[in-house]
Amino acid sequence: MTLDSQLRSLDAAAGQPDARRRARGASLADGIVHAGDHRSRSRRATMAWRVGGIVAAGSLVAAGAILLPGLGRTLPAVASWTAEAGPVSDGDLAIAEDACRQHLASEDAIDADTPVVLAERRGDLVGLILYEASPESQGSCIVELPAGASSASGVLSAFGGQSGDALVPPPGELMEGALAQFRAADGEVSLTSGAVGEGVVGVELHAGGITTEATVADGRFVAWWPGAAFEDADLPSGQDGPRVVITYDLTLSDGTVVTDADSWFPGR
Amino acid sequence: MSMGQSEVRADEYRALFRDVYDDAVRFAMRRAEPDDADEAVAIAMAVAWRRFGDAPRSLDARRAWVFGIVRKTLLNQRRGTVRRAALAVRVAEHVELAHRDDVSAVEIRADLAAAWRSLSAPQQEVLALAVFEQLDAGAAARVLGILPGTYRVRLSRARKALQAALADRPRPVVPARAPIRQEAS
Repeated sequence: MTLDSQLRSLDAAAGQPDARRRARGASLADGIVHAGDHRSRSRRATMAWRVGGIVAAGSLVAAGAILLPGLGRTLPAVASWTAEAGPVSDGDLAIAEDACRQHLASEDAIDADTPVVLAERRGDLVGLILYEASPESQGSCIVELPAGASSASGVLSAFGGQSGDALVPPPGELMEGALAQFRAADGEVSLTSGAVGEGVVGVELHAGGITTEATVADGRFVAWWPGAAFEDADLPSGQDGPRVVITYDLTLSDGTVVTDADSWFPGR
Repeated sequence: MSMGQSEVRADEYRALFRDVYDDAVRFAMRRAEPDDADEAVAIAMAVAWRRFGDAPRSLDARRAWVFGIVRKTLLNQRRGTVRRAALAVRVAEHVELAHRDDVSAVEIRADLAAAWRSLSAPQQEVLALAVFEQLDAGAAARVLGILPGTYRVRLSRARKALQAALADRPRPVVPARAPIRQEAS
């Protein structure tokens, strides 16, 4: 037996992928490809997989984006989280954006010139969305950055995208966006973003026992919260996979409140 | 992009996925713990979809392209105070007696495993691409982002280092070296 053959007998990946990974692979391929298939809209996650101490999940979304776990290994402290978001100072935003871009750029997840379209502060944490509509791509980060701090002390990141352009929901409608759920020893953190049609000025999001006001600007919304976005996040992906537990209340420019609004998608 | 074009593109991507997924899983699992490997492959396959326009045409080149994405993802996963430039490659932790093995065969493999672990991460990486992924020099160089000639030099040095490590073992049983696949050029 040759040396190379002897080495191959020591292959640490012998027998891989096992049945579980094969199934996950089939699901993964479908999730990635069908992310752009608006006809198969479902409020079940198309992908969910355990990654280290984190469960990250991407959801099939009306806009066709699919969100994948980024490399944020450190779950920032969430004790300071507030249900109502505040503004981010220019100085803090520059630091948070730099930290976010470093995480996302390391994976070629987004283009370098993808602009920040939303940023919000909740306690010591800054959430921000980098977004490009054509072709649609998005990077999302939660950055641990107390106001005025000189550097970020933790980042959660995720990204998604599709080959086509973003869809725009009709006036008064919300189009659910990408979802990410991270889990570590001290609990889950979820983040979502999406699009709103003309005339939608407020989005209140309910997930489990959490209610939070999303930040809305320029037809996009973003929110994140300490809690789950999915029920049974450990389930395999697919039509029987994890179910999204989020509901939305919309406030329209004329003062109307639409409770438990359905997410719009083409052909609905 | 029209619906028809999108479907063609999706079908082409599925074909790439079928062609490379199993190899990508094995590539990652040789270099990372299972959970990290799963994450890296998931991310890499999504990046491959996003960058599908950059995908090479031939299967070998596509494998190398995806391996390169997985590698980059794994390296980034391990970002810490020191940015790593190479991935260590794991070999089996336990050398077991297989059917028709004798005790000496187990000892040889145990020595080989120990010698492997004595190599540096860059040495393990260049060797693994030839031995485990069975890539030719051109494809392996693509994975590492270096020139094929540079890869050949590093591979030769890594083989010598492995031979030297084996020679230092108490039982210097060194089977004949297998020829590596050579690229056409």
